[in-house]
Amino acid sequence: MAETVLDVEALSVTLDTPSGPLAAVHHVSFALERGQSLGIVGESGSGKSMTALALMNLLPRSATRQATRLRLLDHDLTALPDRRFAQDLAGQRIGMIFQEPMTSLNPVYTIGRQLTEGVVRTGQMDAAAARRRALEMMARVGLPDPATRFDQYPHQFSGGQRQRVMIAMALMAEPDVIIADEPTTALDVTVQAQILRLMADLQRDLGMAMILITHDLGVVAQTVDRVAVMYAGEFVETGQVAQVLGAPRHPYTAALLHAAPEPDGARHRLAAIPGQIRPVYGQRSACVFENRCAHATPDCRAGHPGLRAAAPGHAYRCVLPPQPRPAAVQPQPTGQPRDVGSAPPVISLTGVSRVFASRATPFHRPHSLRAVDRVDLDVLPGETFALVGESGSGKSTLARMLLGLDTPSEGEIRIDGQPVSALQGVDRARRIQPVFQDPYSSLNPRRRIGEIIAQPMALHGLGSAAERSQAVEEVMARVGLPEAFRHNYPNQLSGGQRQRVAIARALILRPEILVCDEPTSALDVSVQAQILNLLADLKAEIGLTLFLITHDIGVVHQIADRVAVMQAGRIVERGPAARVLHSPAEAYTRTLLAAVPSIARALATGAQERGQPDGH
Amino acid sequence: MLKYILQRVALALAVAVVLSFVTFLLLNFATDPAYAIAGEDAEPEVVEQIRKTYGFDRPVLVRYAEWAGGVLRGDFGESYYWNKPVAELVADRAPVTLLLAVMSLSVTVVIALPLGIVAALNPNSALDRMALGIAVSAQAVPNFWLGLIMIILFAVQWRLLPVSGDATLMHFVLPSIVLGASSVPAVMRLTRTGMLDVMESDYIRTARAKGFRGAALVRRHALRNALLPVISVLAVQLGAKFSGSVITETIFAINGLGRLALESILGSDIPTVQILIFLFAIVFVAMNLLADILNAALDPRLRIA
Repeated sequence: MAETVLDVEALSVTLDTPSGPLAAVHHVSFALERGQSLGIVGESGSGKSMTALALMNLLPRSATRQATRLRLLDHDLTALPDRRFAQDLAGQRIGMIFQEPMTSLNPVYTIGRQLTEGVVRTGQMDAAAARRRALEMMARVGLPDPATRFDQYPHQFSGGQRQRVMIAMALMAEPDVIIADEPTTALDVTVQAQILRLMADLQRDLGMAMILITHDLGVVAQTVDRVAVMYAGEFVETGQVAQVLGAPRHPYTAALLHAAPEPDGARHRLAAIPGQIRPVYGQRSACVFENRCAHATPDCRAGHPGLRAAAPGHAYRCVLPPQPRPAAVQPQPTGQPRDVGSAPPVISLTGVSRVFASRATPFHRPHSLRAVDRVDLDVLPGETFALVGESGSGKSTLARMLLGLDTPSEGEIRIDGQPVSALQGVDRARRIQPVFQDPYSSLNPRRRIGEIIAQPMALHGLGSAAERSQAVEEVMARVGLPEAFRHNYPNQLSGGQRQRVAIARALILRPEILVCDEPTSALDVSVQAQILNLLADLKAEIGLTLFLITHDIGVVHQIADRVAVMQAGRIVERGPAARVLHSPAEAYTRTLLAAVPSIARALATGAQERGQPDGH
Repeated sequence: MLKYILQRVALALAVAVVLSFVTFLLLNFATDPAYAIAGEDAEPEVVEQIRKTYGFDRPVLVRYAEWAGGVLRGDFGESYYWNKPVAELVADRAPVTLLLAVMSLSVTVVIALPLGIVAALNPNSALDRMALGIAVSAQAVPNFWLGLIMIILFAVQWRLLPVSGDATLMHFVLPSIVLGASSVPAVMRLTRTGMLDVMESDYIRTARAKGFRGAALVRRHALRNALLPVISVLAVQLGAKFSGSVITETIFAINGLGRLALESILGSDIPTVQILIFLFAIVFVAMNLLADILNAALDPRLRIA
């Protein structure tokens, strides 16, 4: 029996809010042995990050922590004052890696200083020993030329390299427990794969216990031994990865699995989870998922369900008998492209380049960067065309040029056979409309939903007030927004509803083409499914052409007809989505695809590697 | 870093040249120096005579070149009003004003920085509210009024400090407080906002996860980041102390550049006014240059020239 390093029983975090005490974390219990890893999966607002912050004594001022037991090694954290925790444990016995590598390092101090200061502060090592250790750890996490990079500053490192620095920093004191909160969410998929592999290797080699917090089921499946699914502050299902993801017993776990596009499987309509997390104030007297659960019965409201065992080590909180997995999945409506082959392309790019050049000044020689490099591209009417690439590949620059927000340095873009430059004002607005990535910042917070949606008409002076009102009503119905929302402000809506508003605003002029730049990457999995289904429906019902820009292979798999893979400004591979995703011809495409975390693949290889999925 | 400094110095010099030209033009077009010397009631022939004698009839560019050449050689021209070389006047008065400016900036720093930092570390506490209260009232109080009140209280009523003059260091205490107080609100608010932002930042959370708390956290991780914007503002404030000395020196009867400027303006002494305006502007430019270099020394991201 290995040593238990972290033992948590009935951990709760209560936030003091204007509407009363909110239980952000409710009676969470788990124990971690040396060398074990636990994944905590959940959507935004589930309390997964609060759990981590509670373990690290990093909770915001408005939060309070209670637990019947909270032990780290032989320290009782419930009784330990924060000064002592900071002095003896933080960073030494328990370390943490954060989500945002770009902002989590102090910009004004060298990497070396930030790596070494923790162990030097506590007197574990003198400066020289700390430096040796830092160089060793930098090499270990795969940072080339540690001796030079030791004296460099964070801005001289890329995002992936900074996350490696963060990992090296967390490992400096050889902690017994390491907590990683969405460590790869901000990174490109190929970098994510490297970082996850590195973390799994280090955890095994150094015999640490690890808690990995993520919203991505694929990441969990391929990285940890055990998983806890978190919802509304509680662990609704816990067990070995193969148990929970392979044979889920809680309806929420099952629903999450169905909502995530799985690149390896056959394309089917995603089962979106309706509604949103309901925050629980005060006592818990019913199942927390009951309001969104497809199987809910009056029993679910009778009391708060306790933990039940499905198998040894596999527990869940649900009073219902095991649900059969939905056998018949709905097919995705496709809506065949109109007159495939014969129709002229609706978007046509010939030799399009965009060169960014810095201005020559007395102090600088001008230098230039080819963000988009001689791209030829045709998009047919009624198809969904996906442009895939990692950050910096030039895909967003291409989208901006398509929308007329930027002008190509070379080449020509035609829409409906006319050059984009010749299309102005309402002519262009009636053909092509954008949907942006972040619905939290792309809607004016001071305007009502109705005004926001009608804005394109108002801008071009189209229609009378009554006509605009009529158009808003129609388009809101089309995107599935209740009419009552037209007098609300954006901050009263959830992320998914806001993205529907953005889509409604784009549709009100009845354009032929929607340019969607990462339309779901700011949304939770269950909400992403709603938006992808909506886009597929719109395409089938009104014959929209969708130009989709994304880094997410799952999204491409879910709705794209054709796909082009972009790397360093060029298109390296293109073709029908099924062909490119299943038998890629180019090495870069293969790397990209192999890097995408897949639950099915992870479960299959995990079963092979581990033999029996009981972890002993 | 060296390249960055050279760049900044070159830019500062360019700004200084343009400034000197603009001030020269403004003064020579806005006023007629010949009239200024002759006095309001002079006969036109006398004015014409003066214009010839002093060379005011030559093209303005020629006169600028002559003046600028003189300035470069340290010859600031001759004062009509004081009948002395301007350079001598300035050299006499400058140390007093410099002392006043540095002392009042110290007053600003000593009050504003700690207040801003403490307020930011305890947001919405009684301390924070008090600091904001001080800032708002200080902003609302006019400089000259504060000066008079302080004289009445500290010099006349309680006789703790001298009323006016510049004989001893004690004479500078009241004027420094008056002049320094005017910058406290702006600097304190900026320090508070900067500190608040930094304390909320991801890298502070990282430092807390490493076990840093309290004073060590502020000193080792927050302070430098929070003070970067404050440095630029302090530089501008020091420049403002020089121009602000015109009023304060008059109230406290201090014989510095500010009072020299006022007297020269009243006496239509164009050569002196010209040099003083130019000097005050140059102080701004120099302080901004200093702030740029300091910022670059403290923030590696700025060093990429």
